[in-house]
Amino acid sequence: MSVRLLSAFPPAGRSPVAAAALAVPLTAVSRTAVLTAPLVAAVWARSVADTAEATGTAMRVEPIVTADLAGITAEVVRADETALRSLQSWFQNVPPPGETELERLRDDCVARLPTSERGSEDVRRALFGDRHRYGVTHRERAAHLRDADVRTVEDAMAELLAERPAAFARADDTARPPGRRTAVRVDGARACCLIGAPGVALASPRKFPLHVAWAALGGRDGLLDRRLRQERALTYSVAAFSRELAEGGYGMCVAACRPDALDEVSAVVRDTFAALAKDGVSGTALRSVKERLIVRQHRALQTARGRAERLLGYAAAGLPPADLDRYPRNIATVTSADVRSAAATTLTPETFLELKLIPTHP
Amino acid sequence: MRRVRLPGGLRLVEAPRPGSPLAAVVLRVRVGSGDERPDERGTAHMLEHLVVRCALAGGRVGEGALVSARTGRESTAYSVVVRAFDAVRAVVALGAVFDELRVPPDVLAAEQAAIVEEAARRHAEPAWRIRESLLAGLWAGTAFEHPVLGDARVVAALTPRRVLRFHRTWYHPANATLVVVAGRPLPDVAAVASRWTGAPAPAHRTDAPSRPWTATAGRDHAGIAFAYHRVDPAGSAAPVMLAREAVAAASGVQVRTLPLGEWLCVWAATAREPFIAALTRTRDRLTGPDGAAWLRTEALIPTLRREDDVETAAVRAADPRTLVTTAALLSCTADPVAAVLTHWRNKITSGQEGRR
Repeated sequence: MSVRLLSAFPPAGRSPVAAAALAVPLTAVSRTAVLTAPLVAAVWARSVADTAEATGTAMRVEPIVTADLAGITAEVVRADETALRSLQSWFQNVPPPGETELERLRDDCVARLPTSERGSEDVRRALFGDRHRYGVTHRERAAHLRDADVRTVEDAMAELLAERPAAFARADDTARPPGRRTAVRVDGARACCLIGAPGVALASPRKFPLHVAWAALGGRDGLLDRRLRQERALTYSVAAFSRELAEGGYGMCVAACRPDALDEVSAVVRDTFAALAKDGVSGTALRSVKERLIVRQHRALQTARGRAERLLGYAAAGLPPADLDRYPRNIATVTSADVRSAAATTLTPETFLELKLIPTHP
Repeated sequence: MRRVRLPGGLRLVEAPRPGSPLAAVVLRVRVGSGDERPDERGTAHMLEHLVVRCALAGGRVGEGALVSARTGRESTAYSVVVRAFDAVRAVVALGAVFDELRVPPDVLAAEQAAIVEEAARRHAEPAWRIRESLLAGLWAGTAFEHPVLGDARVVAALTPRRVLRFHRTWYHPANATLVVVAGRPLPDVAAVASRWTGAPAPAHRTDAPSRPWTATAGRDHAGIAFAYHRVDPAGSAAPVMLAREAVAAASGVQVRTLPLGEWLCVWAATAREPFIAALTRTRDRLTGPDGAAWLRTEALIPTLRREDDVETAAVRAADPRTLVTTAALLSCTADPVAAVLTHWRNKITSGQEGRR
């Protein structure tokens, strides 16, 4: 018996490139396996690419690792689309790597590791705890991968491919840590105010109003941009977004500003969150935000690869592929009251994590 | 792809994207920093900010999509991606860039402050500094020498009247190209855009020399650039695009290109010798026994994927020099790509060093 393999084989349609993705979920495996997963995925990718080449197929194969899964994405020009049918058997028959091959893959693998998205590691670690895989940091993973030997990779590969129960968390069981405030000194000239908040899992129906709420806060001409930059000239840049994963989610706001404006920025952000929870968004703004989210979704799915990788994320969360195409419809039905309710239950000061990054040499 | 010249002088390009739920609309006005006199440096970029804020009401199309804008040395482009059913509405919205511009002094002051901040951010980016240093070296003594951000003193001294004068000179349909990439033909687009009228296309001030510097290095030798005439054998878009991607795959060196006038500028943020080594390594890879397959997996597939975006397609279609079709990419073999790399290598090794 083997692991529940996550797969996505979207039709290429009129796209000049066809793609498919295969992965294993990172649930119910050891922390060592989670930390080693990028190197295992690199081994899978290299081996599948070599097998494809040996059969005369020009297939681009890249490792894919997220907080929920590890695997590969394969792309071919549309004329070679049928070659993707062999992907699953190639993937499941990857031999363990030799020492030379591992060394060859290691540097590239560490270089490819995603760094913390605008400080989101701090938010994830605070929300989910440092023992959860969502609390793994770039630094911890890079250090582990630099030292991982053949045996470690071989063991991790076996563990990731071993049978285990599918373990989906309940949709709304996101951890809710007590609110706390921290100030950290960092190199660089710019100060930054980061506020994180708990979110919901990918399978939660509450993700739609939360998406709209965070999209209304962030972006050009969003509520935070208006209040912080346009009205008060307090910030250089503002971003606000939410992320939904298989077992939970989070949202965060990142505002770059002058060091002496940090306290005022923090106060305005909190005030803006409170206003959203009290008043929701106006009809025009609501339609605008929803339309932008729908366009963004369509745009992300333009390529077969974009669709394949998103489908994998949905599969890891136990969601059927059709849910991906239902996203625009679900966003379209969100009302201002839904947004108000989502903000009132999520964007509350007692659950905020606030981090002020203060430059050493402003 | 359909190209027509409308009665008002506007060039209209319509490109089909069958089955796409999205449409991209790009309006490219042929005015950039290369058209500025010394006392106007930065005005084209300021005008871009003000057009978005004042003429396009913050850049919103209909109920959602936001217009993006970008000023270059030769043109200013306004683009937006909408759902297919909103394409005509997007065209109508973008047509407002030709309307008489009204700039309240407080809006001008706010955008002057925003540009000061934008300049600070740019100057903090090493890649931007190297690029601008290299382009200034390549185009020393010409209208292309100064950066799009312009001269801070000129920008600070701009008045609504001066901005308006610049707008009246350059923003006319006859001086612009409209591109619509959509799932189906939209006859209303031509009807809407045909109603846009204005003065005849102005004469451009760009004083591109007959021959820019063929090679130059940044003052700190952190970059190298050269330019060559686009009618050279290695000048067509598909092999150049694949060559860039191939060099990045083989060596990690990111090569950038920019067409200016009849020239193609090429640069990389690396010193001369490592750049030559990167070109040689890539060429060897392409001419090796599995060169064709390597080109396909490492350069062609990622390029095709990136070009599959509606906005990317529309931006490319707005400038014939950057237009490349899927068919051209798919039919491009390793030989012309290797020839581009040889051409680039020769340009560097035989090039005349710039003076900056």
